[in-house]
Amino acid sequence: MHRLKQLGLLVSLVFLAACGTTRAEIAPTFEEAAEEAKQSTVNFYMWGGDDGINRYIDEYVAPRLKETYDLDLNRVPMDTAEFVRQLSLDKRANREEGTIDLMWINGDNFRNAAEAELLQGDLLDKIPNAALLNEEAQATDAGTPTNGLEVAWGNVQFVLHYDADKVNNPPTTFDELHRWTEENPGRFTYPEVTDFTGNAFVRHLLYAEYADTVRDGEIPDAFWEELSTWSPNLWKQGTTYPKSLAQLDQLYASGEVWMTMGFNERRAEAERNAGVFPDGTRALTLEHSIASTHFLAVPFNAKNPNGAIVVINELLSPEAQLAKQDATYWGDGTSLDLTKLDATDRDAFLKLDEGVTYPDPQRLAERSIPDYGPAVIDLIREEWDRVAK
Amino acid sequence: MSRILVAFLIVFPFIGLFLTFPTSFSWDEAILNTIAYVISIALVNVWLGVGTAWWLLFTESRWKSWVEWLTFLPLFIPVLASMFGMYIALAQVGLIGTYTGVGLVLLVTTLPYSIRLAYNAMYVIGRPLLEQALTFAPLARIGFVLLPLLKESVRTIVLFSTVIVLSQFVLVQLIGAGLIPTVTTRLYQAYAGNDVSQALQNTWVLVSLPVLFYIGLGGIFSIWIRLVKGRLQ
Amino acid sequence: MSRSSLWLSLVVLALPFTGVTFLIYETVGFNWSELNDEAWRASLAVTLYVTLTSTLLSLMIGTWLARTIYMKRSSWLASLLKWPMFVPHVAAAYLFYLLFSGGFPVYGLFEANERNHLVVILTYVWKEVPFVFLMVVGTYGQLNHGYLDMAKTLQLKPLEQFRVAEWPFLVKPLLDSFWVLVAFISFAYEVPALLGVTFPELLGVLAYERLTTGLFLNAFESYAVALIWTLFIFTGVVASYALTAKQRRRIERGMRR
Repeated sequence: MHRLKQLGLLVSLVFLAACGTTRAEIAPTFEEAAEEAKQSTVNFYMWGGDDGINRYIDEYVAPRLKETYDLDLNRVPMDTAEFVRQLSLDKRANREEGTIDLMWINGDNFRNAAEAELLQGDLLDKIPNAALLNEEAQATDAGTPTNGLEVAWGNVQFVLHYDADKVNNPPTTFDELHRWTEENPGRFTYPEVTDFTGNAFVRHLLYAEYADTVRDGEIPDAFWEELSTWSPNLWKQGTTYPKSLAQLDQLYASGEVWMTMGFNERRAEAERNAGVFPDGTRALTLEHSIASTHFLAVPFNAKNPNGAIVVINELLSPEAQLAKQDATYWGDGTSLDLTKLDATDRDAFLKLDEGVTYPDPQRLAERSIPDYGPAVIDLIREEWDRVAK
Repeated sequence: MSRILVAFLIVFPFIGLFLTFPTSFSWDEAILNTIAYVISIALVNVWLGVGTAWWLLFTESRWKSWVEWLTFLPLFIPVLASMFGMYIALAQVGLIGTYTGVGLVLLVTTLPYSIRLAYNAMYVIGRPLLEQALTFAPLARIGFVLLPLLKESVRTIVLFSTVIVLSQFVLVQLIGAGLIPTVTTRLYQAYAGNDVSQALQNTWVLVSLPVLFYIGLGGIFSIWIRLVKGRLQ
Repeated sequence: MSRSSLWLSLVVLALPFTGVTFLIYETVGFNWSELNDEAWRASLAVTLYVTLTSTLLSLMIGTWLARTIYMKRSSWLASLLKWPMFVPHVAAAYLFYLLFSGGFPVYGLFEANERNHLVVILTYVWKEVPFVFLMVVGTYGQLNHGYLDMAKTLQLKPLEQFRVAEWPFLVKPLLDSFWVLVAFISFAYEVPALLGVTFPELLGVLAYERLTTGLFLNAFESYAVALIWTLFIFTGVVASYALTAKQRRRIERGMRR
């Protein structure tokens, strides 16, 4: 009996401790936020599958923040959908003081988080460097208006990469790519459509056939039948697909398939230089390429929202954006509007446009198309099983 | 002949381990966390497993069959299925993203096995032998009778809880909110990613930890039993 | 001593039940007909196939090995058989992936990521045979030789000998192992995620994927599947134990020496 009492006491104490927390507020001005954030830690949740991106945060960004703002940045690697799920569980459990302070997000994950009211609003006026943003990139996220719930961090386009030592006459359109797979069976595949990149590849094929006519979310059966004709000539006869882009990259690196793909036209440079991707890796720009922006957001229950604001401002600074676009770390396109920068900064960005695996920037820009909305992404996820079967 | 074949089948998957050797080894946070969890979860499992099994075997209570089912059924609840409910429950008491929270759910996945293993072992030893131990003071009872008698079972409990703890990825990632890296969570990212040699190095760690603990515990036990025997003479 | 640890155990073990309660709460008002889509149906079929094949193979091989090793006193094989137990499932899956995904010349019938899931089954059998062995070998250790000798004296055929003198004592450990393995294999993520295929996916993989790919509506599908599956296994466990209760009790009495 005595033990029972002790236990009850312990449990109720823990409860009391948990109920005392309230939501943290963002300070009215940036200076006050920076003051508040001193000597605090910001938990930055982001997809952790790319070594270059991780090194950019750990080796470049974190030390700068420590020096300038006396603030510790803790990078937490986790899949985006996973921490959005965690936030929605937080919401359900009324957890007002959470673990995530800042997160990297876009596309359907953003749409879901916004719909479930998991994000803090009015971010832009609290961040001085937000004035430098490319307004078009900032406005919408894969068709969903951003409404100040997230801040553009980078801007990239979808490209394929191929091994020029093995592929002599690279295709120039998606139709030719189809024919190429028939001539080279087993040498091409794309990630499952639950994967961000795999889904985007299918959207490109959809655009090649139907352009803007399917934006409202009705995909004709004929499209799926057409896509099924790709299967017999894909890797493993299309009986299975790589689960993620990382797995496709691994197949490409080992020479099992001869092409890979992904958002970010500069992503292959560091991999090639490190000897992971074959030496003959070159970019392949087909007749169109989806432009995609990725963003930073602060969750509703961030413990340290002021710190998050400071980090976002630093990530949007021209120097940090320049280091991000450089092939040393990541090669990610800037989300800033180059015309808003001063001349030396602008020149520095333009100088970065040379790389063995980079596509011709002009041609890529000409072929850029806006993304379909989340409705199409969902639809592809739901109906693609017919092809995989 | 068939025994040779069986032996070969058992051994051959280990070939994969030798595709590369770990080149560098560093004591980072993930390894320290993992070792701390493995040791504490194993200790708690031995303690609670043996204690609960003792109660189940030797205490008369009208709740007994209920308690038996309560300790038995969690074996059959898939971790994946109960995970989200546990998150909500632990969020209420502020244990998400904490070492305690992760420790608690790791205990949840291991304890039912330990109770079962301890129960079976003590059942085999039989009531008469164990009942004689009741005349000792608790510490002496544990040290001089229970541990020596249950030596092999304790090793098995430790092995089971170690291996199960080392297998948990989804659970640690969700309940720990990503803030508590272990070898498994780090390794999973390496599996999913590009880096075969890094993944293999982590696999080496995952396989060698249980082996080291098992052998180490065996050593400790034989020393202890020699000491106990020495005292008896 | 035992009472305080009992209380603590009960507090800890209340957590998974909280999880199940949450599932029940979440699925109130769920439209169950939504589960009748092709992905779930195919998933159920392949899950039953993989789970039952791996479980039954593990039970048979494990029992056979326990018997052989007990009869022939082959202690080297017994200690070798422990090896797979030291390998966590994640690591085992990765080792098999490395061996069968093309980096190693064991091509042909067995290959990672193919629709018959043979490598998935192989991985599970490799991991679970030692477990079954461990559960069963104790029984052989305690087996009263009198029964076997009697069966031999009566000149029964080997199979009959096994049925009369060994099988009744194996029912309990085999039943325990059967349900532990079924519960574990049928709703696991790591092994089939690494070694399985895109379609059909095993229940655990599909449920987890629908939970985390961001389609919020599908979360309820996963909760519902997790709930039915847990209840289904509970029912199986309770029913099979109730049905064998009488027999097991009789045998337990006979086993005390």
